[in-house]
Amino acid sequence: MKGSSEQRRKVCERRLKRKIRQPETRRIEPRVLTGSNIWLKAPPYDDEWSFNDANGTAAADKAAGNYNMAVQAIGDGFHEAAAGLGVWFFYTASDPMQRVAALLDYSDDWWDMADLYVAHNDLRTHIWVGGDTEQNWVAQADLQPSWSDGASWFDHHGNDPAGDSGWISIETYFPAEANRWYEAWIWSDASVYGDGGFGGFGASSIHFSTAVPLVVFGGLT
Amino acid sequence: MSTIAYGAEKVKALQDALGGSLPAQARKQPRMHLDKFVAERFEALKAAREEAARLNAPIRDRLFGHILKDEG
Repeated sequence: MKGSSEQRRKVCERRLKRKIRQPETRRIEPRVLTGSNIWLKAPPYDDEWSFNDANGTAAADKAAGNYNMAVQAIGDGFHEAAAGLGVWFFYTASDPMQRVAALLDYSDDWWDMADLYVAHNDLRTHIWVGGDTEQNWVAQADLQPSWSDGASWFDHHGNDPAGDSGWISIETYFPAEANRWYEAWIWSDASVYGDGGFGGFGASSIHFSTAVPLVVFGGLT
Repeated sequence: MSTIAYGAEKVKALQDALGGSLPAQARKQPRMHLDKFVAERFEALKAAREEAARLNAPIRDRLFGHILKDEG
């Protein structure tokens, strides 16, 4: 990236305004299937959650079944945003390997660059399952889309300007006890870091948006 | 394989018939756990990044010194 340090900073600030594709949630009817005991859940989901500091935005919409976040650092340290959707489920039979899966229609744009200083760029997508009786997480799976990148000196990394988008199915397993409630959280967290000082700065940015058209409790066999 | 409930209302009704209504407090717990996890990790990562920057600073300053001498 050419120009003075101030010009490069303005370019980074303008890039935050770049729009990414907003995935649309496909209309799918929830259903319960016998045979393999499959529960298919679709929006509206039960819960939504988001977290962000002053440099980020994050929002989740349980009715629409989507969440998104944007966070950026330009030489001003560490910043984070996170969001997700929660789906409750009641189990009638114990299963030491209960499957929960989700379909994601996602879109993202990320980059980090450094002028003499350092930048980091990390995104994780998770399925975590909390047990109401257990009062704790019974599964904490880190899944895709995820990435971790660092830039130093005069590096410039990322998937901009085209970004990335696609469909992905993610899943995990957890020990379920009969007659207990569990809540699966499909969530992502984005963190960026860029330090700066005399003669330069590091900058880092993430836009992430996803729709979750369905969540499945149960195996396919 | 056959469908025994179809549509959001019927699926919810079947689940509630099996498990009863979830207490309001139970609905808040996972969100509170997420808040706690993210807040604690935010502070830990922030501290780690700042510590790394502190350790890198003397090396970067020495290099700046060489660059500035060369340019002069």
